[in-house]
Amino acid sequence: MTSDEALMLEFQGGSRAAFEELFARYRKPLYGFFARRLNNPERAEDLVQETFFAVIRAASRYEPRALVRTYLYGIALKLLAADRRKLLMRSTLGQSVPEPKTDGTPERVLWVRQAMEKLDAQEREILMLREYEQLSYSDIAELLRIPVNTVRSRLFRSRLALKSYLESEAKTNPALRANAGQPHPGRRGMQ
Amino acid sequence: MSTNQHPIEQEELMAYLDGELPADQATEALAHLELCPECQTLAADFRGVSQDLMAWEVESPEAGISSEINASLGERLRKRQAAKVTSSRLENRVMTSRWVWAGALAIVCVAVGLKLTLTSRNRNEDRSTAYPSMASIEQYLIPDRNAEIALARSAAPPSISRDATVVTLGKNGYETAVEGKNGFICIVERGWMNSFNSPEFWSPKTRGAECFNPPAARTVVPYTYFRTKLVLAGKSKAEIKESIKTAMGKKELPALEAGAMCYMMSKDAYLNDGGGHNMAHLMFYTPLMDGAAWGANSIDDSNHVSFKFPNSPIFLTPQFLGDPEPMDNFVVPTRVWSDGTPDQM
Repeated sequence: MTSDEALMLEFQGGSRAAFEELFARYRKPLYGFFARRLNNPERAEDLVQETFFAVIRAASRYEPRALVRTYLYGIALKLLAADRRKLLMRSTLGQSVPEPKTDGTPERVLWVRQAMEKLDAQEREILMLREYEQLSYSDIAELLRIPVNTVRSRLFRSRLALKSYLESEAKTNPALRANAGQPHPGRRGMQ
Repeated sequence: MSTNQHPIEQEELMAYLDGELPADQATEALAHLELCPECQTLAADFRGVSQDLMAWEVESPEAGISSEINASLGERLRKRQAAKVTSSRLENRVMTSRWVWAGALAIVCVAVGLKLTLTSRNRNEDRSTAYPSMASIEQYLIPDRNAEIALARSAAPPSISRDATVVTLGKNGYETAVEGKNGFICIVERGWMNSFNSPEFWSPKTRGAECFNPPAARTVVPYTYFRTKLVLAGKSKAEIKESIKTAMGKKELPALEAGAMCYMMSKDAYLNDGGGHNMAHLMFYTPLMDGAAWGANSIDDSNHVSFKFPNSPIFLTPQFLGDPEPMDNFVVPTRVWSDGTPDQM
């Protein structure tokens, strides 16, 4: 299996097939990244496409010392921040802002989502990058431009806080824990 | 939890569970965790949170490359082509170095991919559906016992394997087919010795011929026997993992011995479906550690190679990584098969 970095170099050299392979590998993970942070499937799909636009535009500047995965999530984080700024601006101007969708969302998803919303924003981001994007502490530190030790301590705090939020809700509704999630295929996760 | 009673901080325990502690600290953390109920509870809490988070699954709609991206891509590639024409000499030089680099990466990828697909957590969803569950036991067995013995022996040069113990797979587990004299064990491992998330975990095609040296025969092979028994007893992946953890907790499985390694130099092995089916290499087992200490390029859960050390021939595979077997596995290609002929891969 060709590495992402080799594919990126091939794309820099003019290979369409290399780009298509990168797209195939990362479309779904990036969609998950945006969908969990925006709770808006359509916008999530748009931002996935914008991420790949950015990759095309900046391909010549990519250097193989950076992991493609970290590079892509770096772009995604910037696009997400820009999107949030836009929403904030619209909200400040009194324009309508789409509400996060909850219709048809399974109860257990809402349980996790609402618990996550109670976390400090940066701690939540660190936790999500670790648990869902499966980034290492050093990848997260690089992306958020904070020391690795800070990543570790905030991750620790956020996990304990989340546990407490999840448990307090599960006490009133034990069914939430009845079908506890199975380990995700391919995830780094806890041992 | 105070450090007076616990040699590791809670944060360090979390980092250990995340596979983020350096080897020496990881070993210390593991040793403490095995004995400390308080830390075991905390570890269970962390695992519980991770598991709860998995409830938030996201269904991704099917979507291809949009027409806008296609157009932008076409434009970029056209510009690239034009640049090639107008500055061919410079471009040739750049491309040469680029393709040397890409070629080097490709060689390493192929080299690693063979064993590493065997041991990796590949999230390629299409391939993962090829072997969604265990096939019938018969499909994993090699009907000709002598053929299995020969394949197992072919893992190492005859000077080593001819005096090795050889085990073959039966319906109830591995059985000794030939008693050896030198402490080595030759064996043909099946797909379930992949990482638990490998799409080829249940592949009945896998034939991983390996010849373990004495330290590995004593402290790595027991894990192969143990997993295999559980598989043949019809246990699920989750049950197998839990059983391994329990057995480790009760010290029924050995701690890794220094110097454990094995030969995988058989021409006739079948390691994965990923194209080239084989590669001659050695594997070295260590306690959980940072691959950087070996200058090793690592493969992550998604089977991506992290080229932190370009041109390094060493790779840290995701076969175990403490999930749950508490050891790491480094691969080094040998470029020569066990019969002395060159491995062109």
